[in-house]
Amino acid sequence: MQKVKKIGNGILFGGIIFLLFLVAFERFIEIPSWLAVAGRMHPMFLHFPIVLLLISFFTVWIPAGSDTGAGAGADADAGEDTGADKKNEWLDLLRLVAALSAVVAAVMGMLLSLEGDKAGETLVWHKWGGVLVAVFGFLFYSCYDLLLKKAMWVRPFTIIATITIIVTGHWGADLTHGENFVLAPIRGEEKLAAPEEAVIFADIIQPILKRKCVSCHGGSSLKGRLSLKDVEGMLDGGKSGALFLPGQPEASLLIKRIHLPLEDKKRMPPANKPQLTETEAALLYAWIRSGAGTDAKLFSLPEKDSFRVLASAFLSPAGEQSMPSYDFEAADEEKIASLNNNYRGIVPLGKNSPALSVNLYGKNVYNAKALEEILPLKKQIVELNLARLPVKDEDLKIVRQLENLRKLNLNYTSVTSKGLEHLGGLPHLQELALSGTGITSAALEKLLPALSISSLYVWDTKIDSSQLQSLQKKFAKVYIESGFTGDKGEIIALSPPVIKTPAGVFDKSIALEMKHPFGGVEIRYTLDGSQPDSISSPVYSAPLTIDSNVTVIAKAFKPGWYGSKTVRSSFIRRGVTPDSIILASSPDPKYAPTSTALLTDGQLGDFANYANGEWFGYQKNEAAYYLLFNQPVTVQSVLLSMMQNLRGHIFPPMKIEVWGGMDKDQLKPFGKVTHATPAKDEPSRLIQDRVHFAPAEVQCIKLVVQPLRSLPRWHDAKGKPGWAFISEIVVN
Amino acid sequence: MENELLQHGLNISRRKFLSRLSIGLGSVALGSLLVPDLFSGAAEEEAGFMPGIPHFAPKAKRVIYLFQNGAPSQLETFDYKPVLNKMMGQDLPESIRNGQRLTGMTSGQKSFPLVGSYYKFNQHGESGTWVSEIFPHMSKIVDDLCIIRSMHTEAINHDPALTFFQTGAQQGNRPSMGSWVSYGLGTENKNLPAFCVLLSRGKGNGQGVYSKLWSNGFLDSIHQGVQFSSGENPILYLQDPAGMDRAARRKMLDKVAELNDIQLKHFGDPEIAAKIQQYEMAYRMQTAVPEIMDVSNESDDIVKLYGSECLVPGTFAANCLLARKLSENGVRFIQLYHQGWDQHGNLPNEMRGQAKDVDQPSAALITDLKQRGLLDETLVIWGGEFGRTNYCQGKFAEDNYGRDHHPRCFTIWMAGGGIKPGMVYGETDEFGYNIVKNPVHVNDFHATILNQLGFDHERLTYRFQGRRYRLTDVAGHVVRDILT
Repeated sequence: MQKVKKIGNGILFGGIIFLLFLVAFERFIEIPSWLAVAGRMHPMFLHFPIVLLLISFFTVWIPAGSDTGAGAGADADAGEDTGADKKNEWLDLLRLVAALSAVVAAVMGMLLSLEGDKAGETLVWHKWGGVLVAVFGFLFYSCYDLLLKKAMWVRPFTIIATITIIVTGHWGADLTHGENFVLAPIRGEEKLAAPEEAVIFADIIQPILKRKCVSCHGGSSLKGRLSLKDVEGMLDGGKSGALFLPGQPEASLLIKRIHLPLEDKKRMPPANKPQLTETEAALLYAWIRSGAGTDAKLFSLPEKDSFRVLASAFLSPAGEQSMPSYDFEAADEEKIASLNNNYRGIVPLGKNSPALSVNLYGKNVYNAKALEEILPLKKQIVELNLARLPVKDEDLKIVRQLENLRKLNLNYTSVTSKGLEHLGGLPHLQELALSGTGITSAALEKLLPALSISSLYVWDTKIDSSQLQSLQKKFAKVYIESGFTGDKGEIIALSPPVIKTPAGVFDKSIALEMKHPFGGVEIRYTLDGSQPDSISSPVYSAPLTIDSNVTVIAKAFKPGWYGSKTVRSSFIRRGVTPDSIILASSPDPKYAPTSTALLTDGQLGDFANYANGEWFGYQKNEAAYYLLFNQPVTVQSVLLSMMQNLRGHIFPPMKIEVWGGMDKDQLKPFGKVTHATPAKDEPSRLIQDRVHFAPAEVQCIKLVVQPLRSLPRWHDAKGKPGWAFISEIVVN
Repeated sequence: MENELLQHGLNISRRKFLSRLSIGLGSVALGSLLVPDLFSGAAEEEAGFMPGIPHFAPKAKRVIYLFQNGAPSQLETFDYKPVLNKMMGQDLPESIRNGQRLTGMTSGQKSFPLVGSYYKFNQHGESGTWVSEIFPHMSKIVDDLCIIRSMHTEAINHDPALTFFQTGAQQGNRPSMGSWVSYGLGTENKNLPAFCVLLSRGKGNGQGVYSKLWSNGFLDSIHQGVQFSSGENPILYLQDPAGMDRAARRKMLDKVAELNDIQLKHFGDPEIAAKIQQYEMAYRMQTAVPEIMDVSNESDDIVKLYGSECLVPGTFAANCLLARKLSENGVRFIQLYHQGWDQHGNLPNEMRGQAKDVDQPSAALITDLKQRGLLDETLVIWGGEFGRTNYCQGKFAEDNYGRDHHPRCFTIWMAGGGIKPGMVYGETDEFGYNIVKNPVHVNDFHATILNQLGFDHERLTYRFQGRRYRLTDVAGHVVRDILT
């Protein structure tokens, strides 16, 4: 043990002398490359002296005799004196090793600092701190007994030495991690300057350099003899020459270095350091290209300058988090909640925003009180929407009290020019929507100078186009939207009226209702199959009572518009309804509804949809039905409602025959109709064929419908059998 | 005896146990200081998210999505490719397709003849944007639009592609976009649902839409899309049955609410409270909905703007007008579907009809929102679920051809809501087959929309079956280049 100590003692003494030598003659020294490796191990090695020194300092604070702890019982057989001696010896060794490591670390640090070029301020402080720590370590070991004798000295000594270690370590951290590395998280983000205010170097370039470059090229260390801390250093350049050529980014060292591959030795920032983002690199490039201005303002550059465009975007990140800031306090959340109701929504603009947006709804429940009630929030309300409510002129007196209002929507309210006068006292109002109100151009001319409006909406008001032009001329900074004015000369056709009563079969009588959704429209109609016109045809005003078969044809008219297309609808009166129907032949299995009741359900069917399960379809078989009545009835006609869809091979039937009698097995032929084959371009629609015959009393009727045997020559599928689709049978 | 020794051996007294436990708990407590919102209950919802309040002030408060169902061809509308006209009928070079997958409908074709647009293109607006002649009205407002020519998707067939666009996943049962928005922003007008759906159908070859597209998925059922139909009763089951007047209905609701209240006090289930509120909302909707459906007070100018078809319920024009009215009344998300854009054949003929249905109303909606000062806060989106191939499907003729599904590039447009107007974003190659610049994936599209509505798409989440779900699932980047 003694031998080890002796050697250690020697090395320690040698080391401290070597260190002092290095300090004294640092200007003359050049480091061989093999020694540089040792120097570069300084950031790793320095942790040993810190820990060892602190532990050895700590031992002087342990009260004497505290060594009889839990472990003491283990070597109870050893003598007390020998135990204390042994302990002291180990502590002595600890102090030696600590001092040694401090000296070695300091030497390494010196070697490392000599490698660099220009010493920064922090580096100088760190260097002297390191030397001091090494000296403290040395003293603590070699003068321990002396110190101990003056017990009052040893503790203050350790305190001072500990502080020195901490401060030196902090400077070291600043060197490797950048300035204020430790405190950065609690200092908060630097605020970005507003683009209009920003100075080119101070607000855009310098922050980038500070974040990514200055830790090596700045105050604390000056690698490559380059300081990027301020404009001067930047303009001076470094060891390799000027940093950039204004206007020539491609030829500039700075741009070259930041675009070298990551593996390249000369790449900046080096691979192990935080890298420039794409935006930052693009900004540096654009900055040099635009002439590398420094003290000028960003907005002094031309508007389309790429640096100005990029930097503006950089300073005000689009979309996200671009919450406008307000200088008033948020309102009480409970207060807001209590003022919310079914017809009044009050919500913050966003999370953590004190500003409120208010929407009022329900023209039947609105009154001025609904506005008065929100006055407790008058500071916070920045948006107010009163569109389509019966807001009166004097209600705007309440609105005027919302001192921070930015956006006001009064579209289609009862506000007039008189009311606008009240809005004069809204200093922050930016957007004002007055479409569909009774305001005039004169009122706006009076109001606008008092406000700082940026957008104004005046569609559908009394302001004509010449007034609008003069307004726009007078207030060039205001965006005035007058909206769609339309081609005044253009006349277009109305949409047709709607026959609300569904077409179909009725018993006895039916109320026929029509309507048109648009205001000011006249519906004219005919019931005799002729085309309605705008002069002689009756005007629809109330539901028509119909008690016979009619086809109504209707058309809509309005001054300033072309009349609409016509609509038509057929209503068929039914005399008797069969009590049951028997299918005497089966329909095609694909178009065979399950219930025969569909044939007498009063619905004529949807001719656009033959596969909806309501149509009975026949192609190979003829259709045959027995209509049975429980009591004898007198009948004189049978009507069939069918489909015509020529492209779909659905044609009117060739022939319809009607038989009748009191008994199913004894029927007499009553009558028949045949149907001409339709022409090629007839549209798809519903068709009705009626068979008339002499009135007769019956309990059974038989119907036979013969589908077209072969499609006409003009048809794509000529010669094939046609289809017949039947949806309704009406007996009178 | 042995037992007692064992206990002694373990040597844990109650006091010791408690004191150690307190140290352990102390350490846990210390560690938990680093977990934000651990005990504030926010973890139950999502950290920092309160339903109804966006993460940051939104640019867009509402969305109107004019979905062109069936996938309109980008090559006949907004993506002008004169090379295709020059090379009409020549085979698609293999170097362009590069073995990419096709649908089963054309993968068996022996040749892939390139086909150029049947319609002419012209430049419009200050932006000089190329638009096809079938959109004369949209051409006029092109300076208000941001046309994205570089959309791409993963699905190649209608159902998965549509479901992907609407819910962020190709399989069903996830919440629809509108439901997410309703969940995130809440309702603006408590008398109307936050998410409404309007359907229309053109004469072109069509594909169906189905209610899973506007389903609330695992979100609360109040976020489900409410479908408005074109008939006398726009919302099913909303009207009182014949013979029941408002007073009787009110009385009945009050009684039901009383009974529900008893249950609520007994069980404390918040779903009961929700039920009471929903009944009340339906009652208020009974007056609010007919007011909105009524177009009789619209001015002549408005009807001329949208075209007189807007007076015919169930048309795309009527739905556009209704969408404006709904959004004006605070409905957050209005989803329109116009069906009939699936032109596998007979394209030149069918597309003209489809375009006639949608051109004027789509442009009118933009103009109408603008003149009311609402376009700034309303995001309008127009587009289909994928694009169409640059080669002909089936029999080739210059004036009669078809196009198959093409997910690799297609065009949509957006307007208002903080999107840059008068802009064309993204670029496809000269054949209109692949994207060469600024691709926008469906997830990116969703992320961008949520961003405009004030949400960080990564933080608008809902915990379900043990994990958090997002509209963008695990992908998506906000396309910042198109934001104002």
